[in-house]
Amino acid sequence: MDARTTDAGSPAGGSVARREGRKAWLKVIRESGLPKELAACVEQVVLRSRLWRAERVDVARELVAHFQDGMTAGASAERLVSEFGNVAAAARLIRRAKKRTRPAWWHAQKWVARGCLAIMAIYACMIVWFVARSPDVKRNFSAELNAPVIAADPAGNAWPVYLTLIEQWPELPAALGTLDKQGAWKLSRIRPGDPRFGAMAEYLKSISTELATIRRAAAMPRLGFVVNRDDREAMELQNRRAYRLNSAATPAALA
Amino acid sequence: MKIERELLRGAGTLAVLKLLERREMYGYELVEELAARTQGVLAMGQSTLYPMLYNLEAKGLIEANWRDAPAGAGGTRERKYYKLTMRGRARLQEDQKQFAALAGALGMLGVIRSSFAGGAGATKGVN
Repeated sequence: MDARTTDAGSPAGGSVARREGRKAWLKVIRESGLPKELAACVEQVVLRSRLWRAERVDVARELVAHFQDGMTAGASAERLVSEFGNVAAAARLIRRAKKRTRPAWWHAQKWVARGCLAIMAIYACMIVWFVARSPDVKRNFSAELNAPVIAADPAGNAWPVYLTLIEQWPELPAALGTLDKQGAWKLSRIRPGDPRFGAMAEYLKSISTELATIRRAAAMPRLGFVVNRDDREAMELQNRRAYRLNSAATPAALA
Repeated sequence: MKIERELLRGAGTLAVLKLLERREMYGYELVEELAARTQGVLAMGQSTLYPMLYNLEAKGLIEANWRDAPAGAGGTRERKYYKLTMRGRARLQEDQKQFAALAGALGMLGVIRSSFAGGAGATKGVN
């Protein structure tokens, strides 16, 4: 076992071996005995090709062998360099061709990486687009929804009746419980057998006029609710009230 | 005579495959043979030849192996020899037919002399 093999076993030796491995192609050129200009030509081609280590060694060995054959055939170094052609073009073409000989997993990895990059680019463009632009409202859906309601006879609208009922709704007897988190009564949970069921029956009798009004409103041709997106607070208040009325009227509907 | 790169592209590949049909050859030998046998018409720089060889290798049309150069070829050193594969042989046959058809067609148009094109008979059996 030589000293280099022993060194390669240690971490420091490993890095030395890796460094030497990276420069293996350079060693091939330097030990070839080629004239300076030919060695420089090979070095430039291999360096510019930016290939994998083993590929670089292979290209360097082949170009060295090529120039050695030329020298053996009696050609001068100058002639061989001029016949070689453009170094940059050669490096580019050699890189392109050598990459085609790489294993299938490398090609798969390349396409996956390209796909990921394309998706990232699309996302980046979308982010820029969303940040740079402001919404351009082309259609007022609220106005379209409200138009038939506003045009219709207000006497057929149930919503004003419901609002009046909500305002005048009698307080719930304490025996029937409290409001839930959304501000509605929990009357629909009171079923036969519940100790509060009797109190609820009494309560429903006491609000028979209001329930009759609800039924009358429900029979009207339209709800007549006007969407007002500009006054969000009023909309939310109306929604809460409607929910409360619904919770009060549900047991009556079930009764 | 300098040939346009586009015209040379297909012809260069065919010429290399044809040279390798008879025996295996190394890079410098291919360059010299191409120049000598085509009177310099198909002489190509090494910057063109080696990428072409790597491409043909990637397509499985030729295969390469490193071997010691025969004695008297500048001491003990290695050369990379290229030889035609079965696939390469089939491709060569196909390309030859296509080039014969092309030459025949150009001959019929009077672009090239029919003696070069092989006459109308060159196109027979192609399709």
